[in-house]
Amino acid sequence: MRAVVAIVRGMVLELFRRKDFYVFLIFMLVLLGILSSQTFFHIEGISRYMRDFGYTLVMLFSFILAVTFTAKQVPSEIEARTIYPLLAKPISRFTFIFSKFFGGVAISVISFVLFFASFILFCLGEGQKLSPVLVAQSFFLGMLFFCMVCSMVVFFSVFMTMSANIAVSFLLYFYVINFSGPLRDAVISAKGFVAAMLGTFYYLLPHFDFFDMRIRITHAWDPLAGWVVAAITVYTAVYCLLLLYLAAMIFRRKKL
Amino acid sequence: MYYYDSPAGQLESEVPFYMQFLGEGRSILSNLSILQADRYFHGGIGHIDEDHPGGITIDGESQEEEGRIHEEEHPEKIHRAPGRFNILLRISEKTEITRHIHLSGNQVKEIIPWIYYSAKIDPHNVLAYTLAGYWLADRLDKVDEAIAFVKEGLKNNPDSWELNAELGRLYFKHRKDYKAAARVLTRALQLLQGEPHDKFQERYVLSFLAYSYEDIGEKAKVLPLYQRLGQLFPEDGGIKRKIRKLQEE
Amino acid sequence: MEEVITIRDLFHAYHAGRTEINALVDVTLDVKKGEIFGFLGPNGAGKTTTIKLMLGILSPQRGELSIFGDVPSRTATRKKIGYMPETADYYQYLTPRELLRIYGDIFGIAGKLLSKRIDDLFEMVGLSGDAGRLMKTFSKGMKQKVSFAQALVNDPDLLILDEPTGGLDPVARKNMREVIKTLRGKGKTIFFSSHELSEVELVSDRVAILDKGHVLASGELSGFLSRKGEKQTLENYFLQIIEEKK
Repeated sequence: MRAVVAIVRGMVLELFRRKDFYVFLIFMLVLLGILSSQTFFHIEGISRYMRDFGYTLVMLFSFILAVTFTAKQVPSEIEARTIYPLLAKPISRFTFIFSKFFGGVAISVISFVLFFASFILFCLGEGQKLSPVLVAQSFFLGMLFFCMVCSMVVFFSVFMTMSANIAVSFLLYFYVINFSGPLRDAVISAKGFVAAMLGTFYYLLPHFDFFDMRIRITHAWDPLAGWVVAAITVYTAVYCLLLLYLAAMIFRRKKL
Repeated sequence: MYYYDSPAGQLESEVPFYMQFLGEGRSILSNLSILQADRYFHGGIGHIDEDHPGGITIDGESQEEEGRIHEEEHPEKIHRAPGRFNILLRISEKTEITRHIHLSGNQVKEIIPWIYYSAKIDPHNVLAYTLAGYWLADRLDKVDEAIAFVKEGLKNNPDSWELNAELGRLYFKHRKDYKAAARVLTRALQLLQGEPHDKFQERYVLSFLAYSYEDIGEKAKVLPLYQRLGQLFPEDGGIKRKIRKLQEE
Repeated sequence: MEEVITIRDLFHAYHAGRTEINALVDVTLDVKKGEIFGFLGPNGAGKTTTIKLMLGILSPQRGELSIFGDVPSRTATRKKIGYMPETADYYQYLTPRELLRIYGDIFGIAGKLLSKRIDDLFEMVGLSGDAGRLMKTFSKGMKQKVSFAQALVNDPDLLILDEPTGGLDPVARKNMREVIKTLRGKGKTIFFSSHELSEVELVSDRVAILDKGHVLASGELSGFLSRKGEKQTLENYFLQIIEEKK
């Protein structure tokens, strides 16, 4: 545990010392500021498009930071040869992989918390009413989302280059968010062998769509039922553990 | 209302400089912006109108009570229930929003930014201006703003019969300025009859023009308009009665 | 004397495409407690592979290797080892102090003990004034000093150094030699892999010479330096033995 915390601490320090994080934060605040200054035909109280943009920016920027930061962890340790003095210490390869995962989660969550807080404060400052339950759910699911993302990226990082990892992660995210609905319909209506194939594919995909609260936040729909949030939490835990276990097994056999 | 494709060869000087680099992509973005307005109207959910599969509709006639949710099945979404133990499919089902609602009352203001951006991205997207005219004037009581915006659209698209017709409608319905309405609708009719069109479009313009002339008192100009309507819709009993009444006067 | 490193008939091969390259073939050697053991060989001899096997980063395909009587893959074994790699581009956005804190935490050293040890180590390697600077501003020599300091953060019983003097100026090299001798005086064992034969000659008690995965010679340094009754440098001996075995 100490080793994990130590490595995570180093990764968090790096997040705050790189300029990327501040660039995204400032960019987001500037964009929100520009959006809020827009007026349309002297109509007061237009709020949904700002919430839409704001939430999208929060998730997008946090996602970019999570993927780019986490994807480079394992390859850059190997390339810089810092993996050798690290693995020469009393730390197993399993611990190394889990440390990189927790580090990725830490930097994602820190970024997400700051971006999300900025977004909420901005909305409240504009006089928008937000359901506390919906906000809390969005925040919680956001954190689960980044656990999923980081586990997936760490898994890819043990056998892909950094650029391939980033490209595949973005493509997967884009696909799942936009096409999981039609895929689900196809799975339900398929029969026989095709149903089995599609079903397997459906189960293997990381279901980022479960965590997407953009429409609910933007258009003030009802929050998710408690059991749905609990089920998503369990799904996230199982999926992350499986991916991390696979990543550790692959990394254990990797010749360094 | 139907999609309007921006004509090629539009004047680049009319487009803000930061949009010019998008080229023809502007019209795609502009149409996407309108689609987004439609989604916003339906509470963020994509909606396919069976009557106008290529476009969106203006819900001009429904007057729903504010806050009432109008629930109905999406005919295009055929949902079979997933198996009871298929947990991922069940979670997916519960996280997706499928209810069909329309924004009502003052809530419709939320679609305005997308219509506005649509017009700004592509000033030759006539649909953006006509939609703005309807939603601003009829649903949000912003008549002056609607007229100003449609006029701006006319500056960018002077030969658009749709924009002339919409301006005429605004003058007729909201300003009660029948002379101005007649002037603009006459221009709309000239433009319409100079290009391929369908009879419903012509009826729309003819009707408003006829009402305008009636309200001005220029009855001599009303009969030819109804006679033209009669040619377009020979089975319409209402038009026949109107023609008889005008002939008797 | 107790043996710290025991290697018997060690074999390890790499696959380069369809070709199998024998990195180590029947390597046998011992390193005794409290000695400085020099490990020499030309480029590609198998020195780094041997070190990786000793650290548990690689697993031998045949043979035996034990550190303190145990397998190196056990984390308990590695608690007593300090390793200085040949090159390591340490984390650019950390300071040396933060790096050593992280490594110290991994070893379970904490609090004031760790802080004091870090201060002493930076004093020893001559980095006290630069300990708070980000490592992306460091020269190669400074990074080498950081590398040496981090190898000592856990006060190891066995120190494995891979090309430790590379990039160091003569003053820093002398300083490092003295530190190594001081550590030997404290009963530490130092395994020292280097091309710098003059450096090895100045500090080592025993040496082994590796070429193409085979141990060509192993024994007391003094024995190599007075071969056939004549005095010679380690470099001369090294070149002779490599030539003889061709």
